[in-house]
Amino acid sequence: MFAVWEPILPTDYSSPSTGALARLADPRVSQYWDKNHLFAEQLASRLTADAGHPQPSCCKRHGIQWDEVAVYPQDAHWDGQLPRAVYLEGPIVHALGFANVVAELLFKSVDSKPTSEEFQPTRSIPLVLFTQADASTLPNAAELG
Amino acid sequence: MSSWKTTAASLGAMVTSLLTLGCCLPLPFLGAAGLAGASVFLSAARPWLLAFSVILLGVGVFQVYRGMKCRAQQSRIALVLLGLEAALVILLMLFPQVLAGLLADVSSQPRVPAGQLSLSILTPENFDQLRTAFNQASGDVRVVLLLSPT
Repeated sequence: MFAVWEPILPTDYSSPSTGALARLADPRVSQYWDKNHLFAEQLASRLTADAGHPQPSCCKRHGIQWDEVAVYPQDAHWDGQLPRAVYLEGPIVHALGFANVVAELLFKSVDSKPTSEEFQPTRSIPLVLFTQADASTLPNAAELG
Repeated sequence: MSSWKTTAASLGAMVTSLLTLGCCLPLPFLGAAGLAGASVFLSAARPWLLAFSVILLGVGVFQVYRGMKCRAQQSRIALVLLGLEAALVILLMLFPQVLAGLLADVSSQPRVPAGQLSLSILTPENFDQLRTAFNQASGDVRVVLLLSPT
């Protein structure tokens, strides 16, 4: 996971604090301070050039992409231009669908692994909730015979 | 007469307010001050220190109020200190982590959690390091987060 921090809000006068960095404690995370919005520019450039790219419903501030999560499949390669993400959404706190997309990508068999251009993620994996049934809706023993 | 009392109360409240941050400051900072181990103590004492700050703030306000009632000339320095102290106490009560983070960052470079590479500062010249890291992880699903520090 790549965490790209960038100054967006008026209070973002310096790089992320130790406390902010500690919020992403997993050792697999690489953290970057992108003061010049270089990654956001790359992403915006890709969004403009690629009509088929997933379009986030949020978030831009002063024309800069932020508070978004992007998911790239195993075969994505970044050459001149940022590759197409299979998922891009924000704000992050509400973009929990990214976990489903990651799970789908991870559990695809190697043989059927789609390319980034073909992948069409489902919007979400349905969650089945088991709740205590309302007793009045349950058939009684006599009806069941 | 009441001026120095207001000033003393304000300074006392400031000191106790700042002491409440002790638990969040990096240990080297505390060590330099000869306060090794104080973070644990200060963490536990934070509510008491804040309460003491509020009491001292109240004493300061009372001194000013009494001075006004007696039409005594208030020291400008004492009033400024009292205002600053009130703002500081309120900020410390509402945003202790933010202020502790600011002080911690002033005294040291931001540190990433254990096991991670150090924070990379991207510039147009070294931006390729992100691209390289991205491509090196080819074969894995990659997630990129765009975040604001605050």
